[in-house]
Amino acid sequence: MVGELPEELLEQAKFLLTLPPNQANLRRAVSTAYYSLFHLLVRSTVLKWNEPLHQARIARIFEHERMKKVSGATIKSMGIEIDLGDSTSIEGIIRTELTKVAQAFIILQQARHDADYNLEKPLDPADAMAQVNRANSAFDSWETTRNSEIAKEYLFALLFKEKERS
Amino acid sequence: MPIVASGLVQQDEVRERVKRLQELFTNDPEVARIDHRLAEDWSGDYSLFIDVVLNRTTPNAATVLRLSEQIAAALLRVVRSEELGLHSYLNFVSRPENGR
Repeated sequence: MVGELPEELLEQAKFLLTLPPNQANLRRAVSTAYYSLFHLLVRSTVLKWNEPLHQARIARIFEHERMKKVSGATIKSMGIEIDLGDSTSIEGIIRTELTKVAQAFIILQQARHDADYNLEKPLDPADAMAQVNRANSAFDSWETTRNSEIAKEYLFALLFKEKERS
Repeated sequence: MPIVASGLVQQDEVRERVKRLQELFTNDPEVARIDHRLAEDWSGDYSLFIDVVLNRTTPNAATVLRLSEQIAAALLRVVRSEELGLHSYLNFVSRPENGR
């Protein structure tokens, strides 16, 4: 159903940064970067169902705001247990990479909203570069952590109302 | 809303944590300063916004990528805003043409 859409969106975001840095290209790059990560998480979840019809219906359940709140709760639950760059244990690395994915999702969601709707000030090319890179790094982090139990729990929470911040 | 109250009550703690973040990058030649503000995000959640003002009008990609990774990691390690009920957002601002 979703196929390679997440990767295609990420490549499109990178391509937009190679074009003249006008506001249209910069804003589309940031917005596309967010949706690349959004669809990566959606695809990772729906592929747990075998029936394509169910996959399409489940994909429509995702809500951006709830996904943000769950991502915040995930970062909070990792707390001081994350060990950025220092951990040599597989579990430590997995927890750290999942935290990075959750953080990237939150930051990119606001960046996407600003890119699409906030016209008070121009989008800075440096910021567009940083946001697209953030999505790219989140893809790498997700690859490291996606098969872990905590990543599966994260996906479950994104879909079902349970782990929102109180 | 509990989130607003929590954030407002802990403004001093936020300021202290952001100060530690700023200190980490005080000597970075590419960083002019790191600003912060507390405001509502797109969905109305009281949040911490971090603006990294760069020293160049046209920063190169390697600089932006390095700082983006380092400051995002420092947000998780030092600021830990989610503990305080706040989402953290990170943006970069190139140095204006007038140099301010």
